[in-house]
Amino acid sequence: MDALMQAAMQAGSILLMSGAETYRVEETVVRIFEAYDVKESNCFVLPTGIFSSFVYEGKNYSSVRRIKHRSTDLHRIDAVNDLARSVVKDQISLEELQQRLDMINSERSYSDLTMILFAAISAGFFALFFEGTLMDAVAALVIGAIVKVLLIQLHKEEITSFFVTALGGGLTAALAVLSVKLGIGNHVDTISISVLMLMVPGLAITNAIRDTIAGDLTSGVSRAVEAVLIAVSLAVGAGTALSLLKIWGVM
Amino acid sequence: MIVSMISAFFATAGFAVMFNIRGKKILYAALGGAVGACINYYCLHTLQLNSFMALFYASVGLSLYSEYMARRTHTPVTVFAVCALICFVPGGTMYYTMLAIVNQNNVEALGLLVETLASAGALALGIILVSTLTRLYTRIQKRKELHHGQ
Repeated sequence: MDALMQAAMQAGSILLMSGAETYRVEETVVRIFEAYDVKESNCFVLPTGIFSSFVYEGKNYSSVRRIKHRSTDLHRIDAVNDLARSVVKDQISLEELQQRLDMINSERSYSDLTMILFAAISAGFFALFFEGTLMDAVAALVIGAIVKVLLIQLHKEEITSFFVTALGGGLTAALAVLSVKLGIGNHVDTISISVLMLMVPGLAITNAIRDTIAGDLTSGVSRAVEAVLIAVSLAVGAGTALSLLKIWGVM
Repeated sequence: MIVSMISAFFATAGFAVMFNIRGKKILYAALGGAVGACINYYCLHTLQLNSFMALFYASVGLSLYSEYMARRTHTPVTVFAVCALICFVPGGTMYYTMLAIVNQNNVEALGLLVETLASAGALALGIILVSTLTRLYTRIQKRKELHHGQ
C-alpha cells in the first residue's frame, strides 16, 4: 500500500509540476487509489502542494508533497492522463504503474536549441499578426531568439520567475529600440509586443479561469494573482528599460 | 485575413513546441490559433464589432474547437486551449498601458488598463461559457446512456 501511495503521489506531482488544473490532479490521484480498491480516498491540491489519504484494512495511509518548481509541459499532462485512464480500464499492476511513471518522468523534452528556434518563429509571426512590416518580423525573430536564450539560462539558475520575467521584458524593450535605431525594424511598439508575448502568462490565466469554474477557489485566486504578477513584472521590466533609455537620451 | 490566420498558426505552433507538445498534436493546437484569428478578424473587419465582442467570439470559437479536438484525440482540453489562447492575451494594450505610465499620461494609462482588463474578461467569459455548456452536454449524454442501459 505504501507503493500505491507513492505511485499516486508521483503521478499527481508530475501533473502539478507540468501545469495541470487542480481538479485534474485531484481526480487522477483519487482515480488511481480507487482502481486498487482502497476506501475513503481523498486528495486535496493547492498550486504548491498535494495532500492525500486513504484507508486500507482499517489502517489510515496519508502523504504530503510540497511542489516547488512548476513549468509548462503539456506532453507530460497528456501522458499521465492516458496512464490514469489505462489504470482504471486495464487494471495494470502497481509495478507496471510505477515503471510507466518513471518512464514519463525521465522522458526528455525538446532541446534548448529547438526551444530557441521556435520561440524566434513565434515572435516573428506575432509581429505579422499584430500587423507589423516584414522588417519588424525579422527584428522580432532575432530579438525573440536572444531573449529566449536569456530566459533559458536564468531558469537554470533557479532565480525567482518574476525577476526573470522582468529582466526579459527589459531586454526586449532595449533591443527593440536598438533594432529600430540600427534600421532593422520599423516600429518599436510592434516589435516589443511581439517578443513580450513569449513571456505573457497564458497558462496561468487559463488555469485560473478553469480552476475557478471547477470550484477550486483557492487555486483559482492564487493562479489569477500569479498571472497578474507576471504581467506586472513584465511591464515593470520593459518600463524601466524604456525610461532609462529616455533619461540617457537614446530615444 | 489570410496573413492573420497564417501568422497565428505559426505563432501558436511555436508555443506548442515550447510547451512540449509532441507530434500531430502540434498541428491541431496551431489550427486552434488559426480558427481564433479567423473569427477575430471576421468579427472586427466584416461585422464591424468592437474589439471586446470580437475577442469574446474568438474565445468561444477556439474553446469549442479545443473541446472537440480534445474529445477526438483523447487529450486533456488544456493542451489545445492554452496554446490557442496565447495569441489573444491582451499583450498589446498591456504594453501601451505601461508606455503611458512611463510617459506620465495617467488618464490614458487608466483607460488602457480598463481596456486590458476588459479584454481579459471577454476572453475568460468565452472560455467559461463553452466549458460550462460542454459539462452540461456531457452530463445529459451520460444520463441518456443510463436510460438506454435500463
